[in-house]
Amino acid sequence: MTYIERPRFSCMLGGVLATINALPRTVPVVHGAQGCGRNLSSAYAQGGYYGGGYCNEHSIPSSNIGESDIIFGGAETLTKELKSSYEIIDADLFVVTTACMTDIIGDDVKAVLNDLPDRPPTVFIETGGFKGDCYYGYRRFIEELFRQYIPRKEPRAEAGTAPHVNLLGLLPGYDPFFRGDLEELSRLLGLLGATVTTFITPGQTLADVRKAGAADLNIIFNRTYGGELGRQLQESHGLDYWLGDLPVGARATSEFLRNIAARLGLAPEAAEAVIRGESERYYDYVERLAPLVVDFDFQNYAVVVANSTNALPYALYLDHELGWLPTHIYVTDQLTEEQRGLLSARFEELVFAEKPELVFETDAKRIQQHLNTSRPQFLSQQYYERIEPLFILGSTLEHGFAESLNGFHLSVSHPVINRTAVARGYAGYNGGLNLLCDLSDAQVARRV
Amino acid sequence: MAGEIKQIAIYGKGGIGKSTTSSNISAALSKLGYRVMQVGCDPKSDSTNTLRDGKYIPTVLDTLRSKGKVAADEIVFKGFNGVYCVEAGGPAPGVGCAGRGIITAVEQLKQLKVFEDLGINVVIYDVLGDVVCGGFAVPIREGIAKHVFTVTSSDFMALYAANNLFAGIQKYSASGGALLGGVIANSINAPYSRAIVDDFAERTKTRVVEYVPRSVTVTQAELQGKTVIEMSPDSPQAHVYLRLAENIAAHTESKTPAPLSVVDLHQWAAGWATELLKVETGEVGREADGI
Repeated sequence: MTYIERPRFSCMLGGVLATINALPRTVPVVHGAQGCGRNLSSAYAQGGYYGGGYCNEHSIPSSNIGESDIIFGGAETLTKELKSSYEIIDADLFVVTTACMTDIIGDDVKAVLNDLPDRPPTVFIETGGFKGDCYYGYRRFIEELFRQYIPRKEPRAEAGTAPHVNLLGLLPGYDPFFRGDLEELSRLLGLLGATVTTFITPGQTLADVRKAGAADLNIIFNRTYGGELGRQLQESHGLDYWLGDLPVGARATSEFLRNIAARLGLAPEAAEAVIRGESERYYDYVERLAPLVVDFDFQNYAVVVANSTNALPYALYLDHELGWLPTHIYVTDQLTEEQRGLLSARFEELVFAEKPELVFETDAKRIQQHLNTSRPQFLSQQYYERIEPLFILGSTLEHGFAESLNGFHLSVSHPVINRTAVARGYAGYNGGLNLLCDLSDAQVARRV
Repeated sequence: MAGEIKQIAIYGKGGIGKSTTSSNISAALSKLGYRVMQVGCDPKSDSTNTLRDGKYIPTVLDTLRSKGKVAADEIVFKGFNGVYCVEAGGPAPGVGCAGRGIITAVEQLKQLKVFEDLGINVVIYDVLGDVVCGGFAVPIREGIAKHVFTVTSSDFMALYAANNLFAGIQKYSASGGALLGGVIANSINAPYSRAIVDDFAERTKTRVVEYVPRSVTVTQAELQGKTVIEMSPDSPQAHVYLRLAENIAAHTESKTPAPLSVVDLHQWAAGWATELLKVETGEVGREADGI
């Protein structure tokens, strides 16, 4: 038996709205029933209180279709809503999305847009929630954003211009620390001499977004939907892509920077200089905390509960950077067999001091049951070493579970509702230090 | 004629003669003294035309759309011999959701309590062809029609549609949905037609209620915007419809049909194709026409 599922993701429309919310001066127009836009805003907000951006969240324009629109078609209602939105809202880009019922009845949104030839820049994407989850929505939206809004790259003007990369594969809200992660990686790639389009961090403009078609490389931090995203953008815009794990901490980040420098044809010495400088600073801080970790026995077994973007990188960090023992990695997005295969194959390549168990499960209660029944002492009367002390890096849903095992807990995956994300990030060198700090805080916080 | 309202749904493949059959049954039932309402459940909205001199009536959904709510006198119209006519209506072809339209229109009729207020004895729902989605299954779901009759010819596609309908009835039978009253065999002239429909009914565990021959009288009546009952009340065709109406009025026990699987249906049809070829080539004598 399981409790009613406490969701860790939302539907396709949810993923698209979360992404639009992070784009500069971009406003969605939802062609659907009243409630879709608002409710899905609540869902992405649960990623560390990632609130509404420019005319998003509570202010999302929606056609709010009713029964009559369902029976006779909602095209007229959408036309009215679009005309009003264009007139009232000062946006630089509109994105028309659909919802379950308008997709089911097959409203022809393209025809509606064709009848408004003088419209401001507008991207259209069909986002019936039944088509897939929010990660699928993110992937499809980025593809459509490129196809409908971002010009293809012109032949390079001159040799020797700074290389240009796009960062993709982090879904706002559902990857709660996307802004901090992207800002740190952007900083590091900048040190390598690259220009970076993140699309969704503060300071990005739509002019930056439109330059993404001229990039030398798409860097994609997700292995389950990322490959398809890379292939689609290669097809539509001729963009090369690099697919890999989100680098968390010094070892992973140094390797990441070496890889990217090589892909961009940059001089290895320059990359090594950056890596050396960053690593020295990183380990200087780590060294200061080493007594706490080592002398006071801050060694833990660890369980990671996160989506397919973050689960392996976090587990690897705990093993490589802290010497903890990750015992279980629970991947919480709903993946196809093929996607599971992709992630499993990557998992097999990774070297851990002791290999954890990789489990695909979205349900919070089933994760508890699985972990409980995996503990050796649960299985017999004999004495076994317990999975203690235990640290669970998961969502807020795992908080009570960690307490019940007398373990520690840090919310790192959606939903994150017992802390705020703001500019926090765990990627890169600074992210690794942030994670060290937050993991330590969770433990020293009990010393009161 | 007080008592329970007899609600009947008539299904069948598009163009097979559902509306013609329904209208003639309604007209015949009114002749037999019943207070009848015919509800057209098809976006084409022409089910009741021959009960009203070929004229269209405002539909439930159009009225709902223009006024926001409907009153009974805006959607119920009297036709031939006092038969009450209602058209559910629906969207233009290619837009919106006709199935949802049927659901809404049928809900409106229930809410307005028109059957009770008008003292209706029999309601005939004339429903669009195949049961393509949940909306078109509404008349046979719990609380609406009790008995379903399907109009079919001996053509394979018509029988295929009937078989699909049987599957729909079987699905809802466990949850209080309508059950099958029987098959109305339409356009039955060749002897083998009758044999094919009989065989199909037997295999799917139902019965043929009436054999309605193809008749020029029907065509004439349609062209005049009338039912056969109105135009030629003494014609042989009118007597067929009257007998059918009597059968339906007397009908009380419907059953769950046993639809064939698609593979079985095709095998069954292939068997008949072989039989008909033998008749065609003279391998089997004309006396075998009626097999």
